[in-house]
Amino acid sequence: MTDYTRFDDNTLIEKARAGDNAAFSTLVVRHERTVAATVIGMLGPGDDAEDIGQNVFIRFYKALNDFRGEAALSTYLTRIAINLSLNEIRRRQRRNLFFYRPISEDYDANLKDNTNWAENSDTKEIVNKALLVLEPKFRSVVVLRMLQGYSTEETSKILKLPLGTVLSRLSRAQEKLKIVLKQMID
Amino acid sequence: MDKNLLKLLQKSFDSELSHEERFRLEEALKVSPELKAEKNRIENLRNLLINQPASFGPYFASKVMNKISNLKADAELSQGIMFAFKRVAIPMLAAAVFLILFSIFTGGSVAFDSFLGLDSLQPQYLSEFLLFNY
Repeated sequence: MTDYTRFDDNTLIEKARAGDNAAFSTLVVRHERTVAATVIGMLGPGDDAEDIGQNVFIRFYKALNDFRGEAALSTYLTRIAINLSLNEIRRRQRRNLFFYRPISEDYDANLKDNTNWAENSDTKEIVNKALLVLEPKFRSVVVLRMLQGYSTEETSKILKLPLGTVLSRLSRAQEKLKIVLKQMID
Repeated sequence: MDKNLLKLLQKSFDSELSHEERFRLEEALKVSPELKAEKNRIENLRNLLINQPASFGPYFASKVMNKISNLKADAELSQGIMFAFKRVAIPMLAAAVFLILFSIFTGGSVAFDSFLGLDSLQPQYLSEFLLFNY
């Protein structure tokens, strides 16, 4: 039996293009954590996040023939994950607007309300909650730069934002996170 | 605390400092315990975030592959339907055009009755038909 894990991404992509499902499955396993970190960072854990994660790989599968390998596969998948997550956030906002009361856009007010839960939760949960306190535009730079470890240049390319905008959003997001996560970082 | 030094400190985490900026920051860190504490806080925050494990539920890859095989099955089904539609629709269209032309050239009419040959039928034909046959 072929050990697919010894192949690099490009070889697996070639095999998947030729209809080899095991090769594509290996790519999914290999990049699941990258996609999970992005999607869960953007949306919080839950079924929605997993659905979006699955859609990221399905989108990639449909675009297999168009993938030229100009960027690393992980970067390509991260870009899809960010876009689908932002779409999902917009969809949630629309849904809340039509069916429930309008969701509070005052993230600074949420920030003040969310400084006490750190006492009763584990680290992973605290970080997830802290990220959800940020506006999506700040959350996306934090997820890419601080969670995924992309450089600021890579972050600006993935988000198609000027470098200065990324830096200023990082700085503002960091200030907010320092307030929310005060007990854990002091 | 000096705002410019704070900005410089933040910048040092996300981009390259010039030689002069690095020197200024290092000197400030030596003499300012506040700035040093701030640096520690930012480092703690960054470490807290970067070390976060993230994963989806179990059998994630299998779920993705199932969706993909469903996708393939759906694509094959719609291809089949399109193929059958083309096989049926094109002859049907040709037959309809033929009937219209035939009707125009033979009866001079495009009415539905003339297609079926019923345009010359009268109601009494039906009662005579029923009377003599049943």
